[in-house]
Amino acid sequence: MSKHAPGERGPALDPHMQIQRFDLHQRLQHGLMASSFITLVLTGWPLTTHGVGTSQSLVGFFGGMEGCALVHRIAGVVMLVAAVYHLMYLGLLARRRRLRLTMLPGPKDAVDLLGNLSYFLGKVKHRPRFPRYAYFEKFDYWAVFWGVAIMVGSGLIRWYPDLTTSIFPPFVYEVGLHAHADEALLAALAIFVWHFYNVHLRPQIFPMSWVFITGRMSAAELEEEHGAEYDELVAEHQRRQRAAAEAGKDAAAPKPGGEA
Amino acid sequence: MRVQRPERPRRPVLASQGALVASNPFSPPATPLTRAARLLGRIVMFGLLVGPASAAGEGGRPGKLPADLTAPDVLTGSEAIPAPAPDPLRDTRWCRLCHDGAHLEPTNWKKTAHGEQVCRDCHSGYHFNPHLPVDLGPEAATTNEGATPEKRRAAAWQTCQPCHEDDVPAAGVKHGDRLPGAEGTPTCRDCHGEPHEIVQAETLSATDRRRSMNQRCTACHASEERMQKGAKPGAEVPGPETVAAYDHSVHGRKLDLGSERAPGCVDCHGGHEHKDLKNDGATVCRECHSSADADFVTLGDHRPFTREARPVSFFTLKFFGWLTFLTIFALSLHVLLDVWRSVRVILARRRSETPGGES
Repeated sequence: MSKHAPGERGPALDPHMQIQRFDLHQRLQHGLMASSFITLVLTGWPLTTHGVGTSQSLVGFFGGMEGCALVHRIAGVVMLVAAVYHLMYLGLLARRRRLRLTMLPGPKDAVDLLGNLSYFLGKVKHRPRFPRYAYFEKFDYWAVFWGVAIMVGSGLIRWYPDLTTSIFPPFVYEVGLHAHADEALLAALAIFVWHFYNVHLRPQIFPMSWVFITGRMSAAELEEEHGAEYDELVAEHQRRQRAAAEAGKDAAAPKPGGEA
Repeated sequence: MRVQRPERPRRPVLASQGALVASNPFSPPATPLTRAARLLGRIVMFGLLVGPASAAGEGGRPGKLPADLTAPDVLTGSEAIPAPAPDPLRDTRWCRLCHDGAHLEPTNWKKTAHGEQVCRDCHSGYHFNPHLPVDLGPEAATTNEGATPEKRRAAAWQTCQPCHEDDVPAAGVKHGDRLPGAEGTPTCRDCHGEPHEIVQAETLSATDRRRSMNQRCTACHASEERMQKGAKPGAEVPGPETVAAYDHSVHGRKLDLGSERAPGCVDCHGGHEHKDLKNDGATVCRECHSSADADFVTLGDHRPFTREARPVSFFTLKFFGWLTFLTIFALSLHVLLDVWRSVRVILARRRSETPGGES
């Protein structure tokens, strides 16, 4: 929508240039998380709404209550593996001093939220120029972070109720029992309403943004969705061009690539 | 326990003659005259069938078999009735001369748990045929709607007890310490079902068996009125919320979804035996949950999730309820605003691109 005058911000990148946003590890983590999440919702939902006919047929699809429970637990372990994978990935990046703290919320997110709401209401003509992760994407990430911690913890409590009460006081099980079902409802609604709207149904990107499969995004898309990051890339591009010119070499610009 | 067989109209069976006749839609109303005429007809029929053979019986019983009684009895499967001590009254054909009903059809009867038994094994006291159309005591009372509750309860276990002698109502047996005669307490059939329709437990799946048993328990335990009626004097009666709490529990939900392992009422509370869940529930829980301790038992004590009974559950549910509502409300609002703006942008672009429009 928002066409910024490129002249103000220096020479633009080739709009068709593909920019790597997510590496293979990140895409794998997302894939494991997404597949286990959907399986967990399908196999866990019937127990919450056991009186509904759909629940009975869902359970039948997974081979009865016992089969349903088995699939649910396998998927739960997959989600736990994905979470550990992600934490180890972050730890490794930090050790190599390549961890960029772009996911941490900051004051710009509040400004962007207000700017985006003003855009929704027609007060301003353009969306805010979002950083590498826009505020709604940071929300997704931290919601999943909190959600996985709650769901894995309460899931294990429900998986081993007798161990739970032999280690903790009994109210811990009660909290886990309700937290699991209720946080699941919150997570499912957040994913299927909010996340799916933002990455699938939004008219600008319908039917979906391919970045979760390819990890790449064109420069034009990047400028549209993450203007601030685009500006940084352009600035870096110019800096390298200047450095190359000063070194008296050909202006063979190195490819700017996003990392982490 | 009417799980396997199709529904059929119920008729009073082996009741007093008056009830039997009244249930026949083709019969005129029974007056003393018609009753006498029917009785006469039966005696004549009986005489034609067995009269010549049973002339010299001991103690009023027919002594010799009629010719057709040596044929295999389709109902009991016995090849022939033993000749030395023949008892025509074990041949159910005599009963079925007058008493009919779908469940007395041999093919149906054979499927029930009592398929090897004949009428007289339970309905004792009929020593000659046809018997008089009178109330013959407890036996008749078990199927007679008009019988007093005391009579029904007494009859029920007197009828079952000769064979099921280990399961007699007695002190230490669930529901049995107050039988017979206590008002409101269940008889055998209240838990085990209509005697003519009881099937072997093994013929049902574990799920169906538990579901059907749960229904029989909750018929009383989910009813405040019935529980008050059957309560021991001064006893604390668990209310219907107990059953509701089970239905909401993981056990109840799983059984509802067809689990083969989730326990029903009697799995924890025992069938005829009392299980001391209050003082030693952990032993019962450990049948499935190997590390269960006394704390664990309190999780399944059927307390409702109310502020008074389970404050932790109550406030956890409140917290997540509000968290979910407020979060999803905010997210939905954001989505709707986004949709609204996007539609307006698309419409504006389309207007500007339409030929003849204000491009």
